[in-house]
Amino acid sequence: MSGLVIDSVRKAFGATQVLHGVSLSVRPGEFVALLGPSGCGKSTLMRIIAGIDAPDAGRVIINDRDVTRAHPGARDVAMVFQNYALYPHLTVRQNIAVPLVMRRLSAWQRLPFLGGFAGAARRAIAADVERIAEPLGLAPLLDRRPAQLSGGQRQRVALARAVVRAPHVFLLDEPLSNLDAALRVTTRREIVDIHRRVGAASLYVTHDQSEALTMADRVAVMLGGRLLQCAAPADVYDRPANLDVARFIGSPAINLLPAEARDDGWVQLAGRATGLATAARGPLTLGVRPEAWRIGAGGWPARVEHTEFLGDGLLVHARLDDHAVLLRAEPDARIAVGDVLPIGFDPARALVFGADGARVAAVEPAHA
Amino acid sequence: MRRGEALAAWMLTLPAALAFLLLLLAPTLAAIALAFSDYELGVWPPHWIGLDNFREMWTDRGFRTSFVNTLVYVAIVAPVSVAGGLGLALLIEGAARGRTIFRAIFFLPVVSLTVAMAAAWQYLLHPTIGPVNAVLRAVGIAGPAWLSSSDTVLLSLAAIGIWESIGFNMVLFMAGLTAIPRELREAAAVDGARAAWDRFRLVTWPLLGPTALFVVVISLIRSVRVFDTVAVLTRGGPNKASEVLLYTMYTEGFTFLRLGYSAAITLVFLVIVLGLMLVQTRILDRRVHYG
Repeated sequence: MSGLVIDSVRKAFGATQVLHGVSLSVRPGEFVALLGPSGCGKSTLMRIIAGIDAPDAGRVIINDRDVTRAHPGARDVAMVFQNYALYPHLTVRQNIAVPLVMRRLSAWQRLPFLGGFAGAARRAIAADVERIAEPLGLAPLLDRRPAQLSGGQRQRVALARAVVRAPHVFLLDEPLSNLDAALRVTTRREIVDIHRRVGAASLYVTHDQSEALTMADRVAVMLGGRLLQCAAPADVYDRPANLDVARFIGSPAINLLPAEARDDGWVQLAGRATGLATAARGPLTLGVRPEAWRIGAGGWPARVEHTEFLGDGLLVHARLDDHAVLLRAEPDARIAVGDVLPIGFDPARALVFGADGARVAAVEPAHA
Repeated sequence: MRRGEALAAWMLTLPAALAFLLLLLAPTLAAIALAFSDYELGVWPPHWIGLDNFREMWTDRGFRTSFVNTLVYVAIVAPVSVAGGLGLALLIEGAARGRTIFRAIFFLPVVSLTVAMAAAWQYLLHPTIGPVNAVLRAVGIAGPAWLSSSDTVLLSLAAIGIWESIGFNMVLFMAGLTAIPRELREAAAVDGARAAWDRFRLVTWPLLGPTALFVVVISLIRSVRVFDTVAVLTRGGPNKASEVLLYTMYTEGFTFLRLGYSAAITLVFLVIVLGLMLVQTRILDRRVHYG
């Protein structure tokens, strides 16, 4: 399979095992987000793919070629670094040209690196640089140095430098983390556009789930050096593989309530029937997203402790028995602190996790 | 209130200002004035003789030898100690282990007393009992009398000069190297700079620019200033083959007591050093900073 394949990659720094056998594949043209909290090993995995670090075990395969031991420059990968890593002494034009100069010119042709010594190869490079700079709005900035650019402009130069030679694999290491919030949202779109134009197998490292969910074709959730789930954003959100993924994905966070499956499969929450049935037995964890709650007659009594107005909704912090629950209500709902709301949830939208933390299929009562 | 503050400021500056005036400015001005006089110790009063001292210098073969010797010395010591310092810094930086010990070894000459070390060099380079010639003899080469032959004396002094300053330059370069962001070298590798030389050209050398300029200028100034090894090991000999600027100044002033002429030589030295510093600040402001 062409694209990027990572096969059981392991890596330890001293006694700390950072990657516990991670496998992942990205098809050409696919955009995969590698999502995890800081310290989960996602940046290490990216550096191993780029060839900056070597894995202790496992293989990295790019375009059907095992490149585990290959030099970074020989892997057909391009990378956008978190702090852009632009060459401060080169102009924007020269920065973008570096990957082309390094690949297309021989060592002796490269010698007068800063000089403008012509030749067909150099003219072709100049043309390619301008072609890539134009749609990114970098054309008027080509003769500036990085220090004269804003953060967003530097970011676009880093993107241009990465994609100018149409790499087979395109790696992005938290490229938006140094931008302010407004710029982040617009740049998301730009990055996806660039990805589509280049058609590379793109891997995007981020700790920000909104970036991962909005940009990616698939989201790979990584926690503690293990890849827990790799699926489409909607699947990761609606059908998380286990408790850790469920807890990590979604903001505000999912409600996790201790429940129990009776011997006949019916799930009960503190002795109350939930209308859910499952194949598992014994103690369970019930996951309910804040927007899956319904307020209406016949529900369980939950006392409101705090409310937050979000504009497009109202976030209600309430207490059901001894458990804090978060629910999302309509923005015009008349809910005040101290109210007791009757709440319930749509069984189809509830998640059931077994004692080992893995999600188990819930069946609706009709099928039980 | 304002006057009080200004007064306090002056009072606080006074010790430093006084020290500067008495210890730096006054002697410098005195030396400059002396350079235009025929002052000799014990002959009073000195006479204003205009540019005669400089005219004499121009025709003085001794001074010319000394000037040329200094240039040759600088031309050997400065480039070799700069390039060598950079090479050592890169090697040690790239080493997997033992960085501290190597850094200490090469830095040792910088912190040791030159005069004391000169004695060690005298022994090492001794034509009959010195280990250097012993090694040469072992491979069948008759080593020269390093410090007492006019063909080799300047080279020998230059070698000692290099040994003295290479560690200093190395430490400066290592400081410059640690200031280069690691991501830049990684980016260069991903961008296709596969050979170490390519990464050096693309990242290390340009970003080392300010450090390199500083090291070059410091090395030039340090080698123009060569004095103690000459004074201890050769006294300018044999046959003036190792006369250097500061040593000539010293003998004219303190052996022949011609303080006027000696001051004129000092002035030439001062102009060279100031010129080098001017070059540094000018270029530093303009070229090697990527602000």
